[in-house]
Amino acid sequence: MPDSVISMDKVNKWFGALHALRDINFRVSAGEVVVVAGPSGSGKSTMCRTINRLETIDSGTIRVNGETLPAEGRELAKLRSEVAMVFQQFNLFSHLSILDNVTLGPIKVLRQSGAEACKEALGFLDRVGIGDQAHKFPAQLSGGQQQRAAIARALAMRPKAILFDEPTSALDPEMVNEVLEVMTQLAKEGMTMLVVTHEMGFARRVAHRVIFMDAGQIVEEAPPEAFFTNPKTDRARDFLSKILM
Amino acid sequence: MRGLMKAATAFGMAIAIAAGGSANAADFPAGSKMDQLAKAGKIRVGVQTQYPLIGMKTLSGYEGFDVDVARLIAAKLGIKKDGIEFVPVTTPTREPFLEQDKVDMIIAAYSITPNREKVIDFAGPYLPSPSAVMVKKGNPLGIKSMKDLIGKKLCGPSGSNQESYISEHFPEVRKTMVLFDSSAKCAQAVINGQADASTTEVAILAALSKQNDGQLQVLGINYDMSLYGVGLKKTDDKTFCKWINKTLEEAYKDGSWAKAYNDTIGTVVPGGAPKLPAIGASCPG
Amino acid sequence: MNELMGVISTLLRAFVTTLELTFLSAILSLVVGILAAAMRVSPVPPLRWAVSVYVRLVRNTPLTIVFFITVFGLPQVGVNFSFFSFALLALTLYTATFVAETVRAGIQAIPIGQIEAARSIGLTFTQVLAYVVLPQAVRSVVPPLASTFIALFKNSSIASAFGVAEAISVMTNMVNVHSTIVLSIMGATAAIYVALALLFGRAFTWLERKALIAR
Ligand SMILES: Nc1ncnc2c1ncn2[C@@H]1O[C@H](COP(=O)(O)OP(=O)(O)O)[C@@H](O)[C@H]1O
Ligand SMILES: [Mg+2]
Repeated sequence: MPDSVISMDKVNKWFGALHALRDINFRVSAGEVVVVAGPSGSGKSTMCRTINRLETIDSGTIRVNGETLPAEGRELAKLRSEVAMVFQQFNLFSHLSILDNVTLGPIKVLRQSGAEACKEALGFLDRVGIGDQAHKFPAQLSGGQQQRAAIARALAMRPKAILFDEPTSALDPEMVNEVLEVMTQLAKEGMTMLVVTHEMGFARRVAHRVIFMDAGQIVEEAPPEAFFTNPKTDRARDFLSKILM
Repeated sequence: MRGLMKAATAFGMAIAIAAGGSANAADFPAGSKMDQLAKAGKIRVGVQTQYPLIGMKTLSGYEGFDVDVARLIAAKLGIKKDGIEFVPVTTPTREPFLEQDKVDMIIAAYSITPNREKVIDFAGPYLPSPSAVMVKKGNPLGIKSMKDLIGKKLCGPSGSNQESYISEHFPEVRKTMVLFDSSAKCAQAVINGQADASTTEVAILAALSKQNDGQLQVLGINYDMSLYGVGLKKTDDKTFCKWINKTLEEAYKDGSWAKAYNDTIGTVVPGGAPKLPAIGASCPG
Repeated sequence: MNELMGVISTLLRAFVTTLELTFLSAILSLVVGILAAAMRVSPVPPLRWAVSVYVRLVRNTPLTIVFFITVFGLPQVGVNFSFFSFALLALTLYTATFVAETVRAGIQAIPIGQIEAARSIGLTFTQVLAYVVLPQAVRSVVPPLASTFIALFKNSSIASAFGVAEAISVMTNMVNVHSTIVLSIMGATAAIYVALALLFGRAFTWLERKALIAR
């Protein structure tokens, strides 16, 4: 499967007695945008985090670009840098300026020169529409601006894919769109994306595929139109009826 | 009236002195320090706690020559053994303890010096205490005199008479001296080869070399023939001071002084009990 | 009065040794303490255990005993330094445990999201510590470190019992010789300690403010 940027095979994960991921199988191909939906506690975040090895797994295989995730160490760090992550709480480094937040990875991990990283970072910040905020600290920005900065930080790593874990859930409603617009733009440019979100409008417009999870399992997998108009399982129907109210 | 009182006091004293060891409260002039102590049946004596054979606190209590001398004096006041309260003192606490009446007397390897006599009184001396030098068994550096210690690591207790004596008389030796807070640590340093020699009172060295048997050796280099005295609060009234002098002389004559010496220092220092030097430090005659 | 002035000038010279001991072991214990804290939060269990044993053992041992074991124990296994170096070693071993605990607390106070974000961009464990965790921890550890180092300053006096002619050692000698002014000598020594400690306090307050500004 050389085309799969991310692939999971029979992945299982337990938190003590809780079976958080059950036999997860799925692939994300290059250029694909996959939306992950499902009720709270169904394992969406856990799945994202295992791909980045922020969580370990108990069985199964996760591959990034065809390479199995290695154990802790330099190799893992390298693979991690190929899959960027955007968090619900933004998680910008609070002691660094926005610019330094974006350049830290390129300088320390990609070994770019300071000047080069800086120039590119300003380019990414412009792309997400906050080029004028480069020298501020995270606490001085609005939530929407912070999340866009976090996306710029992800882009600066020139990743093969970006994982979004509910990127708009912590935002005030009026800021949701500015972030979704940036994400839509990225999708159009061909970025491979795995997006955990409840924004069904975004899923309809942008996603190539929707994965529906419940109780640690992938229950349904379909193109967005099919998923939204004709969900096959009761659980998905139930979920959609609540979320689309 | 006054004259009569004075005469009575003098008479009382004469009796007390004549009576010697078998004193009781009535034998001392009323209001005198001896009288107060005898009546109370208690005396507080400042002693060292870490000088083997001189003033040492062990699990079983206080022991050493200083402690025996304290008991000897207490006995002559008619104070029973359990009426003696030993108070641990250290170099810097001795003068303040006397000045602030925390103790009635101090018998704590307390060398009589002119500087100290400015602030306190000394009865005695009760012991000549020369300092000596101890080295590793076999004297590997061949040390024969104080001069041989120039450039060597000579270990001594900080704040000790040896330190001040060497500073004054052998400044070249002082330059490379190392100081610890106890002579026992110096002995360990010599055993470890971290110091070349150790110095302090000869009695302490002898005790330490006996404890670490076979590893250390006391050399015949004696210096600083300092004399130990009984420290007392400075007063114009020298009655107590003189009484202690008298008591020490008697103990010397009747052999109890020599017995105390032989029971303690004499167990490690050869040559028997020394001659007691002329009595009368702060209160001559 | 003249006598006291003479004593004070001798004392001041001895304080140079006290300050040398304090500064050198402050720097060394900062290095050792940060390394120990890093090992304590590292993903390698044996490192964590080793540091945890070291910290618990040394931190709860009276400093005098740490000195004793260092000064007299090490030579018996063939390690021999000068008494000053031994004192430096003992003070560093002891103080580093306090630094390690302080830094560890500082590290653990950092939101986990900061660390996850740093790992997710591909920083290695050491890089995460160096560029994200420690710079943020500095802010919260400066005040407790100030107390640790002021304690170190005073703790350095234990070296007087182990062959180092620092302030307290010299004070003890002075007290023996100048028996008429014992209390003045001690008062003067205390005053110098207090003055220097207050000065350190100032320096740390300044550092703290700098650490806050440099966010
Ligand atoms: N670190 C953890 N320790 C124990 N349980 C966890 C942990 N993280 C998540 N869980 C549990 O795993 C399940 C899945 O959580 P999560 O992946 O966060 O769900 P979602 O993102 O879909 O809301 C939940 O029941 C959650 O309580
Ligand atoms: Mg979640």
